Amino acid sequence: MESSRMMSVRGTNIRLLEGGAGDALIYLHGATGGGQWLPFLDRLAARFHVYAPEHPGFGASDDLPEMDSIEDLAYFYLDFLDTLGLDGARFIGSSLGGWLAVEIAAIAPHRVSQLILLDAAGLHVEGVNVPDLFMLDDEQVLELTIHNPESLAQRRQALIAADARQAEVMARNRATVANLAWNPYFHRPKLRHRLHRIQLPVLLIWGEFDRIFPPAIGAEYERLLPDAKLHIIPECGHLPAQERVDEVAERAMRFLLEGVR
Amino acid sequence: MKFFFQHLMPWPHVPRNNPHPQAWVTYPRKYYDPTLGADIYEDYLSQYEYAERLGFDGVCVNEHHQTAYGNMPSPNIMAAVLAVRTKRVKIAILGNAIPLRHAPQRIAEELAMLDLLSRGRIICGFVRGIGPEYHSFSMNPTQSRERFREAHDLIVRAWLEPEPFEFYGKHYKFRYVNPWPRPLQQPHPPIWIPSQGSVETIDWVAEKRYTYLQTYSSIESVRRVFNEFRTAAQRHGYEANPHQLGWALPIYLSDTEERAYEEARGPMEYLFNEVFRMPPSVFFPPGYLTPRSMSRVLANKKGLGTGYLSFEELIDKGYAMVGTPSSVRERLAAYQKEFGFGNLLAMLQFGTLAHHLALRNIELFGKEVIPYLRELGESNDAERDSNRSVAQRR
Repeated sequence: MESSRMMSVRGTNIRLLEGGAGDALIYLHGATGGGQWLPFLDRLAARFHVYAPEHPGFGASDDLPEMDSIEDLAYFYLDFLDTLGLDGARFIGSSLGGWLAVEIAAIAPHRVSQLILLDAAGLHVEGVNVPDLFMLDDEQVLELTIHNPESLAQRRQALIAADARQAEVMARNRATVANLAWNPYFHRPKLRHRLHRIQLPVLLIWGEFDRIFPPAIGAEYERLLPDAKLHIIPECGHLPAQERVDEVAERAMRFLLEGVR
Repeated sequence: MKFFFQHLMPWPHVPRNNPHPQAWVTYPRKYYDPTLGADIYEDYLSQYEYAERLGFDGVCVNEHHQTAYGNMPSPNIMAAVLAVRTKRVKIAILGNAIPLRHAPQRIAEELAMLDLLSRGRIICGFVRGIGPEYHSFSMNPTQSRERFREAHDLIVRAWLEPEPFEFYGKHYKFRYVNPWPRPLQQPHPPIWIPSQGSVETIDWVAEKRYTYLQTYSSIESVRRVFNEFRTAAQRHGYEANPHQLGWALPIYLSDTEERAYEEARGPMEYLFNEVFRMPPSVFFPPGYLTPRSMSRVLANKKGLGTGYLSFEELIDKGYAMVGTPSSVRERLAAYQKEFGFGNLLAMLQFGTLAHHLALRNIELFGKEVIPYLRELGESNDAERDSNRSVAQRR
């Protein structure tokens, strides 16, 4: 069903995965990279035209010249909307992609109709400890990311089996993430002072056992956003849309179609 | 050939089987004993003085942070001390980690001060700082290369130009660059660049006609990198002279081969495996190396810094040299003939090596090695080439 193509956004070529038909829904991937048509996206594609771009600096996409902050990437996605001729869209962002979606909504709230954040980065909460992913190796990061032991074991196998080409892509992805999120660590201090501008319904979905950006960060988003509701997924780690596909897809669809949170 | 006495000023009391994953970044400073530390500084400084007495041409200091590996977070402070405690030797600062500074003018100022205080004996090294420094200062490693180039350009321009100027870079923007005082050596002290052998750096150093230093490398890598430097120099329209090439390595001498091995083994393993070793994510933070350099540097440094290297392996591959004065000088002479370098940076205290053994090592090197090798790489041609390259840079 889905298709993959390269598209140029003001001269920067990125890979775009697309599937389904209907209103535009944009999925923004997290720090481990995109380029994969997740089962979660397939579920959304039953009712929406799902766009899953691979961010500049990741996977098959070019680097974005002069990019050195999440805001640069947010402005890139406004150009992305213009290139596709979309006035606006629904956005779902996971982790780093969640932070990105919030930045887009803060800059241009009129171009975001609905927003779902999955275990999003973007805020620093006093007293909430977050691990320094940049000090850890891939396997240690994986252990913090995935809650379910079986799925952790599978992913560890995939990691060990990665070939040189895949390792190179992963190294570039990491460098892009460091470029955006080294310091301040995965957040922008001023973002919390812009959240009041996002006057649109927001669904916050968080894994109960997210050890990368703990649910306390979700609670802070719920407190600071004018119209947000936090939903905790039990027995789940940092990637609810991958660890708990059915439950998260169902919640997302009910919110997107019926406004139920 | 010119001989430099190199030192890291290591903290020698990290316990074997240190339970911490590294002696860097987060290795708790409670393990630093200041009373002991003051004595250790004094021992190390007296080793520098001894090296001057024994005929070395220069002494070296360097910069590392938050680590037991080397206790010179401010190399310029040590250089100031050495400017007073020595009279003749060059003082090579190898180097200041310029991208870590928020105002690189401070380097132009401090180096000029040092050059004046030492009456023109300063050699100015610029480095990016290795991976862990970027963790220690939460400095974005993906910007390291750009910041290095900009900071370098700012400093050198400040030394070359007589009038205040505006510097408008991506990372550094200053309305009035006008550092006082000016260095005694005009237009500026010689510039040396220590490197791990990345393609970009080799080419850049050759283009600038600076001196290139290869540190901590196998013989195989030293050979390849020096050849690449010469090729790069040709590409930029000149023949590299021996004084543009420097090789830095730990060396240990004793009366017999057996004794040398026995005395060096523990301290050398401590250096490479206890205090240097760190997790790969710390040694090579994301974006610190370009993808092109990554594979090369990793190949050059196989296991170095991130894995265990046995003493035998360190010796066999040429990361370090151990033996009697005559065997070591034979090896050095052979390598000098083959590689054509004009600067040898001998690290004669390393790891836990005791003060009295370090002094004897310095003495043996000064008396039994330097006099035999001094003429190598010192042809009139080399001097002429050296002068020419300085003249062209001006």
